Amino acid sequence: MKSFDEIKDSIICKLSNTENNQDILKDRPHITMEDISASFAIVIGESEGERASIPISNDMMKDMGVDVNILMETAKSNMIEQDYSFKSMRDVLIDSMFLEGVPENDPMIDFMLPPADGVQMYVLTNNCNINGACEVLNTKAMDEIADKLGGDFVVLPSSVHETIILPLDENMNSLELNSMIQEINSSVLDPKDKLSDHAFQYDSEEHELVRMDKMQERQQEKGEKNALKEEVVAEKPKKSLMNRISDKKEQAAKRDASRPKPEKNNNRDAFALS
Amino acid sequence: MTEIKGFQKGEKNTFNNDAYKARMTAYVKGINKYRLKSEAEAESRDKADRTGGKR
Repeated sequence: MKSFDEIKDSIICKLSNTENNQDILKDRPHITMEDISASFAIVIGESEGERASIPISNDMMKDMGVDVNILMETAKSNMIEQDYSFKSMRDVLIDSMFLEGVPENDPMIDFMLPPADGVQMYVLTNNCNINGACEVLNTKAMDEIADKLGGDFVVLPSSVHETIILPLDENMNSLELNSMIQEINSSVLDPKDKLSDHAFQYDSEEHELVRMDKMQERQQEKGEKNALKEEVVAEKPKKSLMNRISDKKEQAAKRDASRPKPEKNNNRDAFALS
Repeated sequence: MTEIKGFQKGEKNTFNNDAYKARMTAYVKGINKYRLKSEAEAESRDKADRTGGKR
């Protein structure tokens, strides 16, 4: 006999590839963003390299008297309370390849490991390395990383267990990154570990994770909105209240007409983290 | 208090170091290859700019 209050501190979020997990997701409450779905589970035990959990089904959610948004908010707030792991790729490889320490003067080391200097790549996961890709929904982690890397950054969905973080470079080509991800997904990953076929970008201003190839379009939209705001402010002193109300109504009608109707499901274009 | 249906159905996940190493190594290689290609393209663009558009 368990109530939501009794288990809420143990609720976690798991990210998975929507297409590869369609059958499983049918019975579980989930939120979808692009080709990734976030579902939920209750952790019942954790030790080094192991985690036992109970996936939350639609029936369980109904019995708990909550909805998918409450599950998401609960999982996100639990995540903020816990430690996350953000290490350089070099350190991660040293930890996983050389369990007894790095051999000295071995010429193979430089060949196998990314250089210690220059532009780094990082690995973001949770403290047990299991289903740790969900840390991209951890506002605290993402904002701390943005501070460390100096703004927006790129998230490569390497698996459901972790993501790879790269500092954003203006010359980055999202199509080429996507093709690298797809090649690794199909040649190296077990299909159950695959997360996504697309590179993402963390918008540090909006606190949202957006598909990198859609970022340009989004920035253009933002620019247009800001230009519209400036225009309205500039016109303000010249117009009467009645005129301003009429202008606003006209603008709102135009916006409503051009805006696509929201779908009545949990699909989102971006994971809003705050 | 509500009984939560299906509470007994659990799953266990174990960290697989070999699969992890394979993923990370593939990404290191992939990103290095990607960076080399980007650098070569940038260099080629610079050269074209210096020579007035002829690559």
